[in-house]
Amino acid sequence: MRSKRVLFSEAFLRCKAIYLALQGNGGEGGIRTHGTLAGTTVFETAPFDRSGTSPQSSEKK
Amino acid sequence: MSLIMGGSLSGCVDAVIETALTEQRVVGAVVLIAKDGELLYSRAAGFSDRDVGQPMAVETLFRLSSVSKVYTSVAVMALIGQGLLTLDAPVTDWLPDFRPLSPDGRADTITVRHLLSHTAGLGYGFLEPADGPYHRAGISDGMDLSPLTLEENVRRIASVPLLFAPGSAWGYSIATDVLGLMIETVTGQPLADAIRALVTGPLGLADTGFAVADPARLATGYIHEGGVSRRMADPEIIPLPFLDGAEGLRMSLARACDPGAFASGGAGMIGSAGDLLRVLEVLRQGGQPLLSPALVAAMATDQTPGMDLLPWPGRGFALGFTVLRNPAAAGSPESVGTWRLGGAYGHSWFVDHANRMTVVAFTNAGLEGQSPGGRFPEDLTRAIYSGGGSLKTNMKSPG
Repeated sequence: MRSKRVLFSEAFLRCKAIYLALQGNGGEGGIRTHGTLAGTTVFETAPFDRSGTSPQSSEKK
Repeated sequence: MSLIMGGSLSGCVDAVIETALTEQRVVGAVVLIAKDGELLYSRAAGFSDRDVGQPMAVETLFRLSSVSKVYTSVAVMALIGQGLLTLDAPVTDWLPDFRPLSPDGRADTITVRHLLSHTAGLGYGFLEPADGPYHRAGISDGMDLSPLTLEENVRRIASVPLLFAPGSAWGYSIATDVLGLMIETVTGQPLADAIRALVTGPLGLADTGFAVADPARLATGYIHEGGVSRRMADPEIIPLPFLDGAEGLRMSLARACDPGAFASGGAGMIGSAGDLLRVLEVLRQGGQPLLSPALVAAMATDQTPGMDLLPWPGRGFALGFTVLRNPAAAGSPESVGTWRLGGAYGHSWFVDHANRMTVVAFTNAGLEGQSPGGRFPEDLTRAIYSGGGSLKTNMKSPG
């Protein structure tokens, strides 16, 4: 099992871009990004106004 | 081929980046390299927006173009894992009106597998002449500021005859946009919400989605031409130098900030290099918590044996990305089975399982930074594997 502690290579530290870190993931290792700044909304909410489940001929107004 | 690591890796990759910046082939770049689950190299260089002096940062957001296909394809596989979609079921089970005719006029069955592997017979407008059938039908490739809804765009795709009978050949296509509508239909959610629920949310990734709220975080697009990189116009049509007769890519920088633009699962997402690295590493390590190892294995299986992929010699296409069959034919030092894809706004990524390595390289230089075809990703790959070869040949003195 991979350690959940952060392990940085020398090259990584030299780059001083400490935005990515290892994170244990249910026993699976993986690289995790930094989160978005708290309270920041990164993406707009898209409209979703169609009804039904099949393609309809409806050009956006 | 063996890898170089540590200081040698850093120096060689730095050299590729510095040369590309000096030669103005690239305005800015974020390069991330992970090996054995450890981040070996992370660098943001150059400018996100040269015209206002905004430096590139690791957390800069990019218009993902075809990198979007990874997220949409993983979302489809996740729905298959949940039993809500079936790989070999007809698309009409979920989109009953999606019945494009084969070239001979027959109504052949298109499956989810065909769409994921680009063997359905669909096309892409940018690969056609300006008067091609997709253009005549008014179909958006998902990178322009189209007034269409996703439903209407898919309806128009279905109105154009297929280029070939499903399963009989391979052709890079807008199929992933059709999958996006399938995802909306199955989940009852907008594609953005569905991908958040199925892919980015479980991994805690907040920097990938549709329609950016803060344009200041978004890299500006540039094009390398005439020996320099210039800011993209809006709209812009980027010609494809490797494909005679094709109109080229219709792009709009404004699309990324327009919440009304339809959600293109094949080309319309925005995201960070770090988010993609995270998703690819999850897949490389077996898929949890997004997919089962069996689904990842299925996703990485070549669906195009015996077929030649025109822009990717030596590679086949799996369920969402290419897989390397023959390194010699591909002219690549990567290991057999390496996954790879890129994006027209200047992106490349690959996962080399044999070397337990994942690489993400996002630039804001259209085509130059793209895999396939761009010199920057080719130099970068050679630098990572050997630090020699054409990298040295291509190197020029700064200044």
